[in-house]
Amino acid sequence: MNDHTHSRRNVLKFIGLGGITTAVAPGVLLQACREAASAGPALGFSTFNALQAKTLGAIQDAILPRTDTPSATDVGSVQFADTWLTHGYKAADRERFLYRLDKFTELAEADGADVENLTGAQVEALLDRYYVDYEPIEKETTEMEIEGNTVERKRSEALKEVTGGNASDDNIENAANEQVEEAIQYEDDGTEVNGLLADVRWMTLESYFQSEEVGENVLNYLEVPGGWDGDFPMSEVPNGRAWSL
Amino acid sequence: MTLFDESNSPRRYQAIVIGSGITGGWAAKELCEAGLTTLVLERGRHVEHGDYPTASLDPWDINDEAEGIFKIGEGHVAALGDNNYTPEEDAHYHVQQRTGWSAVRTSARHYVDDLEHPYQEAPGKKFDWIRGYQTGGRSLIWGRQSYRWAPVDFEMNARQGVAIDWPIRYRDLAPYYDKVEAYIGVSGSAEDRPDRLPDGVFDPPMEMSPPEVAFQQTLAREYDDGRFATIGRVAHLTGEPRPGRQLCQFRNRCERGCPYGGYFSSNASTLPAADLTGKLTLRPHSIVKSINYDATSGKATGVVVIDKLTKEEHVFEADVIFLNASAMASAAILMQSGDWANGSGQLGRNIMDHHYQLGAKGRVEGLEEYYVRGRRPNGMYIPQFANRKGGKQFDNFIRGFGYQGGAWREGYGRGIAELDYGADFKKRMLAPGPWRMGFYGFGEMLPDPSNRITLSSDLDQWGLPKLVFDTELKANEIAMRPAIISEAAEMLERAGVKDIVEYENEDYHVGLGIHEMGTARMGRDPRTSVLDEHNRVHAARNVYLTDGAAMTSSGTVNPSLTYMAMTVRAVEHAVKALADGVI
Repeated sequence: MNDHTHSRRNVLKFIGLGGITTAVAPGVLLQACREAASAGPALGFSTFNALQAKTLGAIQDAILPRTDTPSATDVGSVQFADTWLTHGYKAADRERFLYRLDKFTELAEADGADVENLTGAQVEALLDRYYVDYEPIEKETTEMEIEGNTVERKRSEALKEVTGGNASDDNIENAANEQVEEAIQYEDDGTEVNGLLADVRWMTLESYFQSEEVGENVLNYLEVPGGWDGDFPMSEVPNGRAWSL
Repeated sequence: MTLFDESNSPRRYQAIVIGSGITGGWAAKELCEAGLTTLVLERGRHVEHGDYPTASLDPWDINDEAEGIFKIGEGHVAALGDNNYTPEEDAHYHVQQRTGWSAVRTSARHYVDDLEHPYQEAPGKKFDWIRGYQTGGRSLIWGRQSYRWAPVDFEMNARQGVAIDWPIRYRDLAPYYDKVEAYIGVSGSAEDRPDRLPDGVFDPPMEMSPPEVAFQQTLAREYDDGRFATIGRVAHLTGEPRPGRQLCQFRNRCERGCPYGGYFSSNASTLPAADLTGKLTLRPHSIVKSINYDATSGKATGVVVIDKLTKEEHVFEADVIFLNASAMASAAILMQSGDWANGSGQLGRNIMDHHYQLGAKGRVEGLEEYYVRGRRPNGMYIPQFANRKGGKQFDNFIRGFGYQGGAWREGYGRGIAELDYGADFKKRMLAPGPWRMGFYGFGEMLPDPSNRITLSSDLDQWGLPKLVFDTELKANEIAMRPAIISEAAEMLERAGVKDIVEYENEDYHVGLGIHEMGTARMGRDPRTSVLDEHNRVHAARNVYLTDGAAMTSSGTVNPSLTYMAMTVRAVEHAVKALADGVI
């Protein structure tokens, strides 16, 4: 299949849209612009609006709350998620993530929560309700010893979709940027929220344990070990915490 | 490094080496030290030892500071870490990343951009071609596991009537194994099992962890088929420093390039040694189009190069030519040079790999009073026992498999799959997790002439034909794979490992083991082989090929050490032949 077909289709779609907007009354267009602006990213974010950032932060801090060590949001977990959503997600997946996040906010509101100031208890009530029977979605996570390296990694699903699993396709660069045009089919709220929590869980742990604060000051940091001890006693490990690298 | 100078460097040398990877570096060193002026042609950019800008980046540094290293498209990519890719990055490295560990953000600069270097596959077939186009080639990113072939590996083709016999035996290579090991530094433990895994010249072994020691004892106690486990034999310095190289620092960031020279690479070791002689000239951005051949004399006269940047053609001449461009590329260069190297019809055929990414893993109970200190760039090794003399016999396949693996304490990744949250969960995640242990197999692949490359009529941006891969696992490999999994699981079970999970990457395709080989096999008869017993092209007595293309069968161990030993042996032959006036 030729990738140029897709590009052309996108262009045509835009032209079509332009045709529609010119037929709409100016007042309606202005209203649409205001709505678009209020739904735009909050200051410092590329994807999240202010409420989305707050809701996400509340969930992340329920997973990793502040104790004698920093919480998830203390080390920038929301910023990480925003970066990842912006650059690592395809448009349709990003849209779905935001739909799910808004759905979570809606459910909290239905519980009578002040969504501008979600408490840990309110988030936990929702986590308990939607998370108990949750079966973790099987992500492309591998942990194995390969060539002497313990590999723990997560691959974005984009890869196979982009290439169609066919390495001989020379023309995939544009396909990578191809926008999915089909409307997303959403599942019931429970399924969608479970999907949200699976994504948030991964992002929260990843951003926390890969952060400089946790890596250098919370976990044990050993930049250049200089040697190897295969049976190092736990009793000599400060705080009993893991090495960060 | 002495780089080619367009205005001053000569066009004629005593020797030309095509490729600067693990065997090209050795060929250059040996030729230069024998006093021959030598031109090394490298198709990629030049990487001077030490020019490893990602070598010391911590995960949290892999954002703004790494921006110029792995930034694709217009987006500002911040704090995505080493293993999380944008769709654009995925596209550029969609083949190179297929192993699951290669071409991560900090090492991608040592892998090819798949969009820039495309290849093709026969309908319904797949081949995973993982490449590194730069000075040092894949010696910068190799797995560093270094094992000798067992003597019997050279004999099995003849005994079983598979393909053709090897023209050499273990004893022919043994002195060169000695020389290479002593020079590159191979950390390992002598086991006195010459029938299964001959010992070499070793740097001190890396220590095993308590679960690994227990596993090793289990194999000795539980099995009467001679199987055993040993610490991996790995090309890292653990004894004495070598010229220009320091001891391994146990950072386990090898693929980014090691500023200490802790592991062996052409960049850190052989190329600087070659340069010291004053005989070396290295020309990067030099894509070899073909070798000029004179049928009258039965010799090659020179090499046609396309400059990667200017796309201009240049011709360089030499008395002797070493082909070390990698198993697929060396064969392709011969195919692009005409029919003279293919009197046997075997050129480009018999592609082999080690089929892998399958095995078993599980949870080790207890021993949590032990942790590790440092990041060991190595694991354990279980050499082939299947179908060996005295080993477990299987009647549904021939040959066998080896395992790599080991034990580690789980990291925070274990928290992703659970449901727990809150203060206690966080405290638990900050501590090391339970021990886990796993082993994965490397299976021998038989040579089959239908597994081959051909030249496409479709050209790349330098006007050279793209390679078309027609490869697949055949019946013997497919029959072997379930045994690789079940034997791993059984060994773990006998060692008391719990929650054992058997796994297989069903997306394995030939090439993913990155041990691809066999496209210009050695043999005694020019009618059935491409190279003679000295790795010399039958039809051209001054052209030697000493990379993986030369392999007549694949064995089960990681092959680079054998390629290096073959290279040193072949250079010795070439230097003598030149001195004797035979070529």
